[in-house]
Amino acid sequence: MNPTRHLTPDEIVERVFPADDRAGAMPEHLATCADCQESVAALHDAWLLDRGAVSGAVDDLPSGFWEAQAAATMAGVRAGAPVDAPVPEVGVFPPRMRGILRHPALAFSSLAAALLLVGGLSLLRSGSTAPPVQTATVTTSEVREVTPAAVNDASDDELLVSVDRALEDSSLAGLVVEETL
Amino acid sequence: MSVDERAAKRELESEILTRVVAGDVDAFEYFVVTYQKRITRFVYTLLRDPADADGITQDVFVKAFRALPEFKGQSAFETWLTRIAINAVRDHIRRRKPVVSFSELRADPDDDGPELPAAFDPADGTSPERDLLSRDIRRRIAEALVALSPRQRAVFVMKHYEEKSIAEIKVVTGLDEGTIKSHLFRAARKLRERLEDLR
Ligand SMILES: [Zn+2]
Repeated sequence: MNPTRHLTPDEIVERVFPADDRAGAMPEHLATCADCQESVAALHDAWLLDRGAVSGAVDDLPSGFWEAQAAATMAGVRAGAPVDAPVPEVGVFPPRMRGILRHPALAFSSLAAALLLVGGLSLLRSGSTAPPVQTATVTTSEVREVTPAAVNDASDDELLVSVDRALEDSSLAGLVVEETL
Repeated sequence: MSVDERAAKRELESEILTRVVAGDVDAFEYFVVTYQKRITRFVYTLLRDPADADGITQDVFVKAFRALPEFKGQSAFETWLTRIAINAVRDHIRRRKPVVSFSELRADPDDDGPELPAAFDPADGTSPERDLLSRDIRRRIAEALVALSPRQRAVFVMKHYEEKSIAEIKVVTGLDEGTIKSHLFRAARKLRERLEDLR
């Protein structure tokens, strides 16, 4: 790279979003050009802002949201509902209400506020007689002994492919999980 | 998490899986409670739609439950779950065509999105001009993200939002390293097209 010219847009993006585990060596020009540093910093800040916003929108959800989501999920699990179809009986928010979901934080809050009602209706609709959902039923105290897991990381891909194949099996035809992304 | 902790977790999850497969359906709630936040965050980052994120997260666990007999524990449960989530998001995107852009989901084009917790707002404390620039770029990053193909989007989010290594992405997706890097490169290029005037 010519050390006297500004970074191209591609080079700026590559500084913030390298297609490798590490960014390449810093271009000589970047070390000395305030304009280019500013461009890289602006993109970097925006990315942090976006990442923080999406993370925060989820992490800040009240515990009631997670409890309701878990309850609705377990109702779906127990009901053995077909999963390739839309999931109205476990969906906690009617699609027609999406209009108010413009604001993610508000949307999640609204979701949480509506959860007990809608979640309750979901349980009724699914005909589930499941008892009230408890918190995690198993805790780490139940680990009797820590043994090295029989882990073979090299077989992970193979496993995933075999799982995907199984999911495509006729007995599980309703499940849409394929071997490729 | 240390190697020992990971091993202990696998051991624990293996025991619970055995119980679930043997018919103890309630035991599956451990996996829901343990991973619901992580999956919701992942799906939300990919789709930027809270209601979809919630519904798809539930769907992912239901699918995982039904596929459990095939899960032998050679892979971390979380890895397997993530794969199911990626596929569920991909199917959702395909079903939902034509794709509605992030900006179109907003009635007010001047809306900069949710108020951010101060700790998450890196623009906080810098100049107003810098704040505006960051928010504008952020909006365009989000727009570019939802315009990516499902595969590119998943790889990009794992790399740059979840800070997974290429090797970790490889395990989750089953894609080879060259393909992953190619997706990352192309995703970054599309991003650049949205940010052409940055220079
Ligand atoms: Zn320059």
